[in-house]
Amino acid sequence: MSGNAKGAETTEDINKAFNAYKRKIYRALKDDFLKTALERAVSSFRKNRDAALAAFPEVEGKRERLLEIKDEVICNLADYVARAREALERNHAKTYYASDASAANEILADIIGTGKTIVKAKSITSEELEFNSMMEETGNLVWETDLGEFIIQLLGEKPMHILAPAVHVPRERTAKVFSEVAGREMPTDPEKLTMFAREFLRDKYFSADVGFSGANFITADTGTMFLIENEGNIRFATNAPEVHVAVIGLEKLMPSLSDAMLGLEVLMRYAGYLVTSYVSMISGPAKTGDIEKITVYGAHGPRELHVIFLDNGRLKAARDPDYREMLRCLRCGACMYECAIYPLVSGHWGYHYMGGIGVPWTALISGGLTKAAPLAYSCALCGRCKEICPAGIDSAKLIERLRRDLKREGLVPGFIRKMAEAVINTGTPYPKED
Amino acid sequence: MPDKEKLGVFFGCTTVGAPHLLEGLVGFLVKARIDYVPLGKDLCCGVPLLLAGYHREAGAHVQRVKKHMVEAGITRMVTSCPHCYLMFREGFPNDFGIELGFETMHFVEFAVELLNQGKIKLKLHKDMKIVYHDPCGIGRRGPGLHQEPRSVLASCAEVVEAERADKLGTCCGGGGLLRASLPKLAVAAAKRKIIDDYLNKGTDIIVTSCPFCTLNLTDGAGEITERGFNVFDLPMFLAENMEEE
Ligand code: SF4
Repeated sequence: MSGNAKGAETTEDINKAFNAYKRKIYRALKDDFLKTALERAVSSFRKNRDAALAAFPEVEGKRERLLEIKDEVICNLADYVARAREALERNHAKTYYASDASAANEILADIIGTGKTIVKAKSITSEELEFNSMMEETGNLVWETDLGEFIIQLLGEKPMHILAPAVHVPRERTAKVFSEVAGREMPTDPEKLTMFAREFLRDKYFSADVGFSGANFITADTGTMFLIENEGNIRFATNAPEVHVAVIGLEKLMPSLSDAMLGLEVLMRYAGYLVTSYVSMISGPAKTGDIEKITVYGAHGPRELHVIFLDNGRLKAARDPDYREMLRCLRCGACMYECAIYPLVSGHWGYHYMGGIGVPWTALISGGLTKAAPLAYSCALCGRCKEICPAGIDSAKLIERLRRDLKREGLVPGFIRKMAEAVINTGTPYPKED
Repeated sequence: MPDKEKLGVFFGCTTVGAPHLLEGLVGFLVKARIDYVPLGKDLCCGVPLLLAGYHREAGAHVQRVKKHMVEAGITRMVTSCPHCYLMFREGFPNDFGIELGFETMHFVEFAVELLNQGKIKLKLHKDMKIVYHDPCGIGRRGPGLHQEPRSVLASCAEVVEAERADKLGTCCGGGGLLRASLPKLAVAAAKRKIIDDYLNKGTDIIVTSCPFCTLNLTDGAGEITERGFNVFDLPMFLAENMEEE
């Protein structure tokens, strides 16, 4: 591993970056809003998840089966991409392969062009592309339609949790920013606020040119993407506009429909749901043959489906015997809610990906070693997330491995280096002052 | 056990650096009349190097540690630090191919042995309640010593449990060099843990068996206004609660 670290980074740069990060973390520690919001979120998540796992005890066995499947896919990623693309093309979708974020953005620019309105489903993968600002730069208008993401977009902030992006925003702030958009005073009642978002976004779906989404899984045998949600926005966003564009990380591949069903069940339960309100399965553009059996595309749903498979470091991670484990992640969010550290500071401990699992994801996929360096020293390496993770990912072990890579690239913060040098030179990290 | 046991006690930097932890451990060894060779008073086991990513540079250091121990001619070694313990049991053979030729025990295992052999006896406190915090190093990251410390403590007081304990016990926040890199974050984690897990357990005594956990939980407890807590490393606690002959 070396590619990401630029030779230009000096020790001083690393120390500066670490100190800036430390200030941010310490500020977050003092944020009482954040504390209250996260405490509520953590305790309700724990309750929900315990209930979901208790109601479906057989999910444990399914989880084990899922891991075998995922590991096999990770070892043969390139094959599975090829098969999924073939299936999608057969279904009359267009497919693309993007080796990195800028390649994906070029493809998106070609498909979407300029002057378009885009309704967007929540997608962490799109954060890797900095999709929203990219689209705006090229003269398009993006509406986040997931309520949490919508709030974050209006506030001009970054998501702080992968499932609950606005986990850190108290209702008063939501009311304030909604009031600005509405041009009238909005109450702090969550129901009224939700209704406002519903009304505000409703016609956007139908006037938008493009619906944009990610996917939770995509199958190689049928090219079917699975999109799991509760709000119903994904159904609108991927169905109402003429064109649906999806960007899908390679780790989302599953061999078959039934495997994806298994993944779906495991993901729901471990994310704390007995079942979600909706699951969309999309395999191609809308079509009909009802008039003289002549196939016409774009019956009621989108006329075009474009699927971009995003590598962005995943194939490289898949080849590394340590790091490949991180590609198992289902993004259930459990490790973050159950972590001793994350709930204290939320997504401030992270770049696009957050918490313990977010550290190797930042290093290898989105951000690079320099961005990951300060984050790597925020983990207490307690290993509790491994016990909780449905994919059995040992984030602590991955972070230890990453610290070795950081050392090799000269990206160790000064105080860590000093301590290590004290051990090497004097035999102990706390040398006696003579 | 060999006939002529020569027991080494590896103190570890964290214990050596904190006077009350050191006193607790030495106090225990004296009260329990243990003959031992003191080790690691000025020499780190090397685990901070691994946590810092200095695997390559750690090679020479661990050879020095090995020499220090081999020269002592011990047949068995005890350490109260889970991280030293893991370093000797796993890091030395797996990362550096070093076989020490003697067994390393954690203090918890040693205490169980002494109790079973009747070599130490604890005072029974009828109305005392304590909680035990599971250190990751001898728990889920190590040999899973969850019941053992509780059984030791149960011969002395009533052990009450947090909702999340054993393998799923929440972290104290003190490991992984976090106390060095972001000390306020480490302590905030300890505070959060104590409030969530221990505040309503009807006790103000927290016992653990790791010097890092002890220090970090002590700092976390110091920031809690609702209730005062006393945090003990197991050797300290046993030293204070042992029957004198
Ligand atoms: S690392 Fe595991 S627990 Fe965390 S989000 Fe991914 S699958 Fe869920």
